[in-house]
Amino acid sequence: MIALETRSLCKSFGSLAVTQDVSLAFEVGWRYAIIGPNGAGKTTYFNLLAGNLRPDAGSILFSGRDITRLDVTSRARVGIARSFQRNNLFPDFTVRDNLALACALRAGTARVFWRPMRQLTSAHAEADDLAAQVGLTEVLGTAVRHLSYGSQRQLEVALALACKPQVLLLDEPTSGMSPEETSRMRVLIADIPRTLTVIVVEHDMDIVLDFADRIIVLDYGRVLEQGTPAEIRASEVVRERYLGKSALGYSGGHAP
Amino acid sequence: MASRAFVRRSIGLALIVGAVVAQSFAGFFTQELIAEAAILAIFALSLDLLATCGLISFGHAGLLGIGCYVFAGLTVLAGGSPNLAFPVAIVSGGAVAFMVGLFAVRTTGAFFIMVTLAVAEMLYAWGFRSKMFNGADGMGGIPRIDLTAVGIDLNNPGTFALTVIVVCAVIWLLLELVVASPFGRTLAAIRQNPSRVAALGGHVYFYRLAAFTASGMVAALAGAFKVQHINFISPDLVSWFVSGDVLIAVVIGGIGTLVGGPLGATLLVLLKETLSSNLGHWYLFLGMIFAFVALLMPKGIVGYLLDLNDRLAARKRPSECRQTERAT
Amino acid sequence: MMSPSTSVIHRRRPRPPLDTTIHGQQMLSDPQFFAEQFLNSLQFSMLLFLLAIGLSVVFGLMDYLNLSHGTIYMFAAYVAFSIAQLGGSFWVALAVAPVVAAAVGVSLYFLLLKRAETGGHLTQVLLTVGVIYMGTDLIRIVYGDLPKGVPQPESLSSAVNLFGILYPAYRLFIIAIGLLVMIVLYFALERTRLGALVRAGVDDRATAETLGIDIGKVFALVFGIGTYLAGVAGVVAAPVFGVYPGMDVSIIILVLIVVVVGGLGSLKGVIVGSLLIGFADTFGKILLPQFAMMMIYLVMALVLIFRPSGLMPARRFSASG
Repeated sequence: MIALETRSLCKSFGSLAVTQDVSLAFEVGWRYAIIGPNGAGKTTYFNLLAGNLRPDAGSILFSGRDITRLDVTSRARVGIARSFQRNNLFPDFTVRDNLALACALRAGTARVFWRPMRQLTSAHAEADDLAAQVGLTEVLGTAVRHLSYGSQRQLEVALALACKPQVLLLDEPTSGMSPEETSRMRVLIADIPRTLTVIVVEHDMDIVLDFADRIIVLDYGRVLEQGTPAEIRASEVVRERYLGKSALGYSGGHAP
Repeated sequence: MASRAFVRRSIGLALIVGAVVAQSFAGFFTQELIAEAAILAIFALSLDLLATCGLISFGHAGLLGIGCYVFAGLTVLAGGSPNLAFPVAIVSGGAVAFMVGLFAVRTTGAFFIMVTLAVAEMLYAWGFRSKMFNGADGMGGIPRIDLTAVGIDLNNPGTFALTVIVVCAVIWLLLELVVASPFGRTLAAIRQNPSRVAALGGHVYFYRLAAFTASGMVAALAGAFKVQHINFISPDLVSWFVSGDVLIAVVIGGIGTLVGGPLGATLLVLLKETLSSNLGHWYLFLGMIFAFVALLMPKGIVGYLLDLNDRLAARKRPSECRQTERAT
Repeated sequence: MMSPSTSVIHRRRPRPPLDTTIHGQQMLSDPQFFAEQFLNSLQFSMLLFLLAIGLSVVFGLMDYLNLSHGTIYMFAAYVAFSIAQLGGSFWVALAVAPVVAAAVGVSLYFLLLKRAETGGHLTQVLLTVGVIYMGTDLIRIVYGDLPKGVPQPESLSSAVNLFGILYPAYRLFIIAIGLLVMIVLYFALERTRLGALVRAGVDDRATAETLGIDIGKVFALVFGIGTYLAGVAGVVAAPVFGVYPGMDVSIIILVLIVVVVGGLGSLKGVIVGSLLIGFADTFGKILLPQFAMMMIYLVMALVLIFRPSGLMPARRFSASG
């Protein structure tokens, strides 16, 4: 069964075509990684999937339904959630408030104006669960702006999870993290239930090869190659264009 | 150490008690001044409610003006009862804000500032030429709400001042509830990061529209009180200087703190009165005070006090201060 | 509304006297009249342009909302008045006053305004409104409340026959100055190193800084040029509108509208915005005298509804956030 599909998706900025005729289908429950050199159009493709950008041509289908014209908010409501490459949180709120608000927004209780927020017990209980899931229980009461960078990255993922999405888009979840934080994030991502379809943009080949069922290689806005990690590593084209010597050597020990 | 909410509410309570006490000892002139401050305080609350979701209006006098013109029109021109005109004025303020908001809340920042200014100035231009309301010369004879049935005579300046204070206090308490509600927290989230609220499935546009509509109702309420208070209506009430005054009151008091608006409004009214009756060139001093506040307390007086409270808390109990950050 | 009131701050913009004896629609069919109004619009647009360019670039470059920009304009007009009182010619005033204005503007920036650079728009509004109040009262202390006149230069006091239309030479001179500044600025921005730095800074400040550009210095220079041009506007406006305390406040709102309609930080935007508002103002008064003031606000509201970032912004802003 296909969760999300793009058909001949195109997007240009001026004369620069950043997404060219990208047709991909994402199966329910599978893990996908999108890789490619800087400027390959990975984040643009993500923005098209999440609705932050409108495609110039082509269509996007979610469970068979055409969502090409839906905006970010509506896509979040049908079940596509994303995290951001740069931390994109509510800096004045505590971790618990960030998560509880996200839960309230999803549950439709955020428009309640006659009762105090703290009375939304279910949203807060859910927030505490999510914090436990990503390892933020210790800092529940800390304002986000005082949080370490790594913890902010974790919260970034937790906010996306709070949407209870069917498709989860993670944009470089480990960017800028220390090795220790990275390994914690790896566990976090690996623990995401298999009911969700997960699509990750990631530079760390170690993580990608370990985590993904299928890898999609973008280059100059086009799909250069797609396949299982083993296939991708065996691909001559990818070897030439992207992986290079160092990356190959690094990932050599991770045969599936 | 005290939480931020506790500090804010204490300031609010002190203001209310201070105003009530001052009002009961004051003579006619001071009572008028207190009423003026309380009306500006209501107006400031409406602006700060809007600021909760990150929108700054520079045309809020337009919404105040809707309250002024609807109340004056219904009572003086249509001969209607002021008791009926009052709620109609409030609803009209909400309706106009809703219609303007449909377009205006699509923009943000400086652009929202200018759109609201434009709309208010159009109302000003209309009022300036309006034959019905005697144009720029203005029109008097506006009656006050009649509460003699319950033994309250609003034509008594002291009673009027007290009533406005009470209404202001009630609105403040209501808005305190609203900003602490899921809706209010969503507005605060939108102020911090609208794109993330959208990504979480929140309809930013509708929240902003709702905040603008509610703000319009409160502003119109202040306007309906304003014309009752001065017993007169003229386009000057809609001029952008009025929008500027209320904005300055909120910024001096501390934007986004709710209680900052009323505090700033009180200080502004008192300052203008004291300076203008004692000094020839008092705008010079008013300007200096603005500059001082802007440079020394960029978050306004209440914002400054809240930060001070946080710093004291952090110094005294470094381990526990984080627990108090929850409520803002 | 034009009578001097006790509260100078609270006065609206005066307008140049217009011959409005016949009804607007009829008048427009008269080519002579139409041409005159066209030139009037152009002249007013040029004044707006001279004021708006500084505000727009400062806004675009530093995200600084400087409402006291008009105070510099007023200050220059008063310097021009003083020079005329002392027997100096208009040309002396035009040479000296803008330089003095720029000096005052830059000192004001370093002494006061710079401190609110990171404070956000509202702090800047409070601070610069404070400066407006102080400036206006200082002017009143020195010069009094009453409006003063500044004579036109004698060489430009006649009317010029322009293709059969008699038009005051002085007003043509204002148009010429505006066009001249536009051309100079265009080449300065497009062809010089400073221009490239300014454009880079407006486009993406963070990147420009990582490339080793000292944005602080660029900004000080831009601020100086902006206030210089505001000074030029003050001097050339003085003989037309007169000088009075509060003339800064009267015009700053219109200038802000120009900036917002045109889009922040772009020369083209300011030119288009000035022309649009200048023409909307002049022709609005003829076509819809009842709703003259509404016209410019209507234009702005329409522009912002359809182009929430203005017509030609230098940077892409997200409107919905």
